Amino acid sequence: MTPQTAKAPAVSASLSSNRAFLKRVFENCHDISFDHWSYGADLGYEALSVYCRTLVPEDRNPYVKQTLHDLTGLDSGAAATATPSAVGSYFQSGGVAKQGFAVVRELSEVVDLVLQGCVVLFFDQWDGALVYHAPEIEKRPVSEPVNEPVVHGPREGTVEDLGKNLGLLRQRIPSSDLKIEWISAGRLSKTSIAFCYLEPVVAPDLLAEFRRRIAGLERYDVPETSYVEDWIQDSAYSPFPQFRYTERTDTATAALMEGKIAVLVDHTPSILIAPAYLVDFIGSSEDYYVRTVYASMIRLLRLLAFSIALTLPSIYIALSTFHSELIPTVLLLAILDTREGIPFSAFVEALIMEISFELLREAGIRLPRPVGPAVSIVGALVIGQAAIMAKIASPIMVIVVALTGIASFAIPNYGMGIALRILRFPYMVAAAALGGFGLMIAMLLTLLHLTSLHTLGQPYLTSLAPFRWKDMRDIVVRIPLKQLLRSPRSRRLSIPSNGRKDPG
Amino acid sequence: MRDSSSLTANQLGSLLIAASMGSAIVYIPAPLAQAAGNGSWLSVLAAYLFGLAMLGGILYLYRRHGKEGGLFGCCRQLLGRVAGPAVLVPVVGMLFFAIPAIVAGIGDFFVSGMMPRTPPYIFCSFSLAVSALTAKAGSKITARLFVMLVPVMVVFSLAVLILALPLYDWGRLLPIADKGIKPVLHGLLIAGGFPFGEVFLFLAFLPYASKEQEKLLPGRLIRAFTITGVLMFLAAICSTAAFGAAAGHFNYSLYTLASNIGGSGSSQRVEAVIGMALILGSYMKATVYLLILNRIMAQLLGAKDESAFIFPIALVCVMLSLTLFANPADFLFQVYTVWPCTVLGIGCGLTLLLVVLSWLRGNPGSQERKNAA
Repeated sequence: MTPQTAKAPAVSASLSSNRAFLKRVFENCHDISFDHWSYGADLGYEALSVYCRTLVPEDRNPYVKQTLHDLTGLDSGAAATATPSAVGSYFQSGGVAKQGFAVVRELSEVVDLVLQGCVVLFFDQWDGALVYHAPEIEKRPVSEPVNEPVVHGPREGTVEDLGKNLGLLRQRIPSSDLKIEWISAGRLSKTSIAFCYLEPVVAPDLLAEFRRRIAGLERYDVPETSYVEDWIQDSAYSPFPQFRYTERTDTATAALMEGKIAVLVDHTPSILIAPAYLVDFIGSSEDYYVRTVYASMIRLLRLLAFSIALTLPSIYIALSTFHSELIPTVLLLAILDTREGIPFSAFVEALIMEISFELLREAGIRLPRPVGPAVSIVGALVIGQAAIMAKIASPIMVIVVALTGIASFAIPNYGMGIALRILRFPYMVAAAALGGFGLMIAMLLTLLHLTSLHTLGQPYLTSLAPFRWKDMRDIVVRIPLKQLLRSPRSRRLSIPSNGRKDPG
Repeated sequence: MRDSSSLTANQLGSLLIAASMGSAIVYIPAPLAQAAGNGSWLSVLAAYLFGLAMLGGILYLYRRHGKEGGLFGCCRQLLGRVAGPAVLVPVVGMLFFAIPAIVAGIGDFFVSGMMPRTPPYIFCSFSLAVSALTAKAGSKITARLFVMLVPVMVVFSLAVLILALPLYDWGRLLPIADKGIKPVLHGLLIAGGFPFGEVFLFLAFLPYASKEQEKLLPGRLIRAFTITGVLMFLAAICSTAAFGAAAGHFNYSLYTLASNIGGSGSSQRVEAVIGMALILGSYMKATVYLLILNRIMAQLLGAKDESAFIFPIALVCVMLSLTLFANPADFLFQVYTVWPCTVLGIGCGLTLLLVVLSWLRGNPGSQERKNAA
């Protein structure tokens, strides 16, 4: 039940007075229903049910009947002879009733509950109201997340219903160690936000820091999980994502077991995982579902993709503009041959192609799903070919830009892909201005930024700086799960065995 | 400094490698070969042992004077409130020479080889700007960053030395000390000052050491210093093995070595790797010296904000890097002749004086007990 919003009259014993108050509050809210009922001996007593038609299905509103049925066969007497005092005394003293039932005394609370999809019943001559939780809105069923497809592994994804999402998590970790705390945010939206953690695994100082940061969010409306991210992040202007998102329950569960905190917001399927270190963005949940050798190879490939996506165009610019002596002679001749007749410098050429590529990518996302991929493929082919024929770009530049694009798609996290896309442009400028030296300066500045960056108060480069050899077994490669489970990255998860002290 | 928490023994080790090796691995083989001929590696060996003694000296001072020690603290405790800070003034002057020289080295390297049409001030100012930003982030962040960068620099340097294996003719190392012992001693004078003797400056960093890892500290620092010694030794011996008597005539013998790898037009072009190692080394060394200079100045002038002087120092150093050296020959003279003598005379002399004074005064704790008795 939500906290009370303002000082408002208490529920009156007079049905007409309650009705008048609610009519005034819900003026011009045509989706609110006021139904009058009669009950008791000779139908001599009146009752009123109030609910929101758009939230409560039609078959859920005969709650008066349900209420009276609850009284049947008990000491209060038969339903046909029920009196307001019998109803009041039965429910006030905790009589057996349907699940999701409560008695309220404040009219402001009644208003909130009606808007949350409850059916509220008033009985004449009783200064209380019965509330039944009955919202039901058609929502998307549980399905595979579009953004995180896997070849092998569970296909279960979160939906836009907080209760269902928490249920999915609880189903995966049926343990009392999984703690779920709630807050309600926003004066208007009153969005429910839940954060969960595994009590024996999460670091207490991390949890305390999270609680400290999220405090104060209650005052603001939170339509999506990203609002929570913005509220609790360390650096708003960093291009690097400081938290991870997932719609996969297996990923969220694995994160919880690593000692992370999962944040879920009602009406959105995105689960925010905090904290997220740089190395977390290299992994994917599928890495643990495939064989070790393949998973390790994929990890190495991703590291390569990471560096290609960030630096390939700038390396090409630096080499072709400043350090052509470093390009092998045969390759240099081939490059010069293809660049003949192109009026632009390598930098302008790269800029044109990169911007075109970004436009195509953005257009592909925004277009309707059946049209999007077709447009991007046709656009890439046609524009690429036309650009080469029109002598705007050289074939080698098209290869560089295409390879960079493909490499950025190979990074499993969308947020990290965006960060690399953003950084690629200053890198290109640095390479065009100062060649290899500029590139080095850009890299050092990026590294400095990453080293200074924190996520939930923890160093963003955890595992790399401070460097931990042991962690590389689950970053650069993925060692067999048997060993990883025995001594995982989070020491708090270590299973006590011979010679190992219990960390807990 | 924004993040003033203590440093682990490994982090201090990385900082020591960054400060002692830095760009010296690219620079030092040439002047050593010029001075000591085939015996350059002997000079490196002797200079390493001398540096090790200096490291022992500063560790002794740190053990005696603890957290209150450091370069400034030791001088004040052992030389008094007036003479202590006064003897640090020449050290400040030395650092105001060293930082511009380091970044001027980057400028010279690029202007003389890879990017001849770019003015040197571009290289100096950008390098120092990055160093200043790093120093401003604090010693903890700097140490964390260098833990990642030092291995990169070491791997780059080692890769070049290994890839150049076909170029080595080990017969060129003979005869050892072809011109007698005096050139070897000359080499010792150069390498003893630059880079091995410079280790005395590291005393300013020791108070940052984590209390829990104090026992590990000497071992880790000696290990780090040995890594520098081994790499310098390899660079010197490989340069001589590859170029023989001509090793002294190449300004950047490791770069020349790299550019000769897989010569005759094949596809291996690894000299860029040495360029990167040089930038990394110079950047790290400049950053460490900037932190040390800033700390000494903050202590001398009693500044409340410990990072207050970083940007002003960086600005002054950029200007000095453009005006301090009249021409490349002047740079070579100042860096390979004047600087080693200054390091040995002022820096190592001061360290020796402090060690002797500290030893003569005995254990401060036992002195107090004696007085109390």
